[in-house]
Amino acid sequence: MTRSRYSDHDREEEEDPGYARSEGIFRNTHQEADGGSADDSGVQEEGKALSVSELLYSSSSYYAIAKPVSMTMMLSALSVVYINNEETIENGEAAMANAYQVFSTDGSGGLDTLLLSFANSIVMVSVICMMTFVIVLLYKFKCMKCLIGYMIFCSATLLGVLGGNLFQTALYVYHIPMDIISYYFFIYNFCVVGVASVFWGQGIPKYITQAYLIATAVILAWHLSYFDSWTTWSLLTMLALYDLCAVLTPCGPLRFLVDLMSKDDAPEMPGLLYEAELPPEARRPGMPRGAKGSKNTNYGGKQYGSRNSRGSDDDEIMASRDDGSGNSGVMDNRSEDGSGEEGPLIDIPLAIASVYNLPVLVIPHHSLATMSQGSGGSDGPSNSPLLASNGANPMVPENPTPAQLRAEVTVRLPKDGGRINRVAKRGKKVYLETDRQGKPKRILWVDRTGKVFAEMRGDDEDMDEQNSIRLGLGDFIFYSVLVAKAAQYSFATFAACILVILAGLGGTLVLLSVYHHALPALPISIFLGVVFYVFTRVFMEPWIAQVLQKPYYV
Amino acid sequence: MTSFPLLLGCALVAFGPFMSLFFLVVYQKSQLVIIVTTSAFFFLVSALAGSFVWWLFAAVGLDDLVSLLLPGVLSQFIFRCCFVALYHKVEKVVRLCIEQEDARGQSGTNQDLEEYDENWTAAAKLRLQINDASCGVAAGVGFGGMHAIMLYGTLLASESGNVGVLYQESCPDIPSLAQSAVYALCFSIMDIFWMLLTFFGMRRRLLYHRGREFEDNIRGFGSYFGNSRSGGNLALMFVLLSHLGSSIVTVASFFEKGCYVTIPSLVGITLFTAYTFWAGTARIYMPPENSDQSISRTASRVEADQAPVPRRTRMD
Repeated sequence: MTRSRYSDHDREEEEDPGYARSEGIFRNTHQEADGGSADDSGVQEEGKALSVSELLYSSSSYYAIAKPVSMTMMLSALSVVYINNEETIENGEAAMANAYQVFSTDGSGGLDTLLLSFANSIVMVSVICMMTFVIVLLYKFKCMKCLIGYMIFCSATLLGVLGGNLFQTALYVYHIPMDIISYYFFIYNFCVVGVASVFWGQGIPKYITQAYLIATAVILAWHLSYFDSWTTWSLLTMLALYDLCAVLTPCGPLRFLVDLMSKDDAPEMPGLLYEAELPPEARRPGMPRGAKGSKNTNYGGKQYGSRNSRGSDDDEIMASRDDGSGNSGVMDNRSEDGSGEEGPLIDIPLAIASVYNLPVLVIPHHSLATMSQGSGGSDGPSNSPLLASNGANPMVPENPTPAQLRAEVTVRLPKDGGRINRVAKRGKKVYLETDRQGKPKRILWVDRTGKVFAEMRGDDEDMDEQNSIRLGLGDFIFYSVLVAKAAQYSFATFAACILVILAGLGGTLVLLSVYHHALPALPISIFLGVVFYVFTRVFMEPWIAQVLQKPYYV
Repeated sequence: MTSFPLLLGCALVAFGPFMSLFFLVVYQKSQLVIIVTTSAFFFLVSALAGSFVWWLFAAVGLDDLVSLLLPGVLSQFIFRCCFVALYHKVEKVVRLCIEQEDARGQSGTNQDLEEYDENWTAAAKLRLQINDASCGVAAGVGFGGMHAIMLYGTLLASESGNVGVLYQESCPDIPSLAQSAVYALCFSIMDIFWMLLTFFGMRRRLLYHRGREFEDNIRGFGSYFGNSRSGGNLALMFVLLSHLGSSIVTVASFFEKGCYVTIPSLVGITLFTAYTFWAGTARIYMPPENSDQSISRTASRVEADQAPVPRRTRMD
């Protein structure tokens, strides 16, 4: 499936009620801090003002994404030009025509060839569209095992079969001897490591995952370049139009997918997005910069008072009774009388509340039945609260069962402490603890036995996860197909197409910073690429040939 | 097949300035990479425009040296100026953002100031990276690099698959690849200076209306062009004429052993261009600090207001 859009962390931003896209972050921050006071600058013009952080973020985003895109395009062009000869091109064209073309074209040019190529392209794009709808339906009904299984199968096939074909062609073209056992051993390992790095990722360096995503794009672009020229260019044009409609129109499948993936509890779909890291100074607009009582939260939800948390090296935190010690990394709020301004409320599992010694104020309705059950070893619900709190909640058992530890209770966070937000990670409901500056400290979750587990996050990891930009793998593939096809013709068209695709990418990022929602990444680059390919071929190449005839220079 | 050492050597000669400046200077800064890409795009469009005009002339039978060279030179000059004009517009937007940041910090609460200081650091970084010198070099790298890639890269790619080494009548003693590599080297270096001079010229045209000039406009070595509108026009005219002269000099390749004239002349023009840039603008290249268009003025004002020890500025 081609998912060609910029995923600019829209999920968090869309869910954050405090983030107004059109006005820039400064206006938002003031309103949140002052309770909706008027914009103090008075200089901002509607739709024109960009903040410094947005400028830095946009420029860093382009820089971060242009590098892998350039590398992919160059590798694709090199592979298409150098891992081919006339025989392989002829055989490849015949194979692709048999497999994909409904209407056979002779490639001789003319209006008939053009129309038949467009007809073939429409058929291919229609199939892609239908497949996309199927995937959207699977995602919507959370058939994640089916979806991810299918994607793993496709990725394995691509890396194994198509990658093996590329490797075999290289061996054939350059007459490199290799026995079949070594060949299959290499391909098998290449395929397995690739699938593991893209879909599993844990313990595998990020650059390996990125390299495999680039390899995936290169392999597929190499195969797609076997289409004849007319079919390729018409397919690229139709794909750009399809991408435009699929992302921007209300009935587009990619629009549905973006909306589904933007929801709070949306499961992640690995394997489709290339994630490029941004430098630390280029933070997404809306991310706290370390101000006190950070106004914006990255993960949506309510605003909480900050909390002073101590770091802990423990990977596992046992749910504890209220014995006054605990492993709490939170300032003990028993010293707070709760007078004056109070911290906000949140629903978290009882186990986490007990770890941090947070007073339970109310049992939510959906947890009442669970809490009213007898706890193990006790005579019944105890009147004394598990935790010291301002008001005793008689429903909280003294010796909670695992189910009761997992059940949610309403607690009040300290006013000036950190925050806890509920997030979704790989389809699991977890809780993100952040410090008072909004910097993530650890991820907490409760297992079936009621134990609280914490995943410590290093600074770099936090920055990497939060501060990145993503581009769909389909964009890589079709940019590479365009450039590879141009490279098959001449160097001048190759150079021109690479440049205009990068320019189109920049233009799309500019629009992204203006409109702040998912945009198709293909149309501008592909249309510019097609136009400049034609102009370079018709006007510039004869001119260059004439200039270099003597040679002159201009 | 043309030997690999020859290919590699010629490629390094032609693309050396571009690659070294790109990877050592430009690559580290994201804003400069954007400027390189944009200026390269502008070259591409200018080459398309020049080639289109040539194609029109060729279609009506006027395919000669004038129609081949003159539209190319003129279109490159025009698009250089257009690029700098676009840069000024973007710079204005960036300056507006920084001024808003400053205004917000000055009127904010103490809590906002803490956040403001960090943003101001980001603003300072942004400002420091986009000044006429760094952007002029980056734009020159992009424009000249694309120039070399399109013209010389095409030749290099076409020769890489050939059997034997191509020699031409214009230079029977050295391979055509090497001859063109020297041309590409000279033009790459000159492209950087032409772009710097274009930045200088367009900035002066922007800053000074007719008849006005900077009050401290002392002419001398390093400031022969002068901080005035006429100085800017002079710089632009020099760019056009030196580019035209360089292209005309390569016409000597039409004749047998013409490279004996072409190569030394091109090197001479390159050195003259560099010298003219140095003598004409070295001391006055950056915009004066008391001009409204100067981004560094904003920094100076804010620093004077907020820093405990004000830094020395030119006004001081």
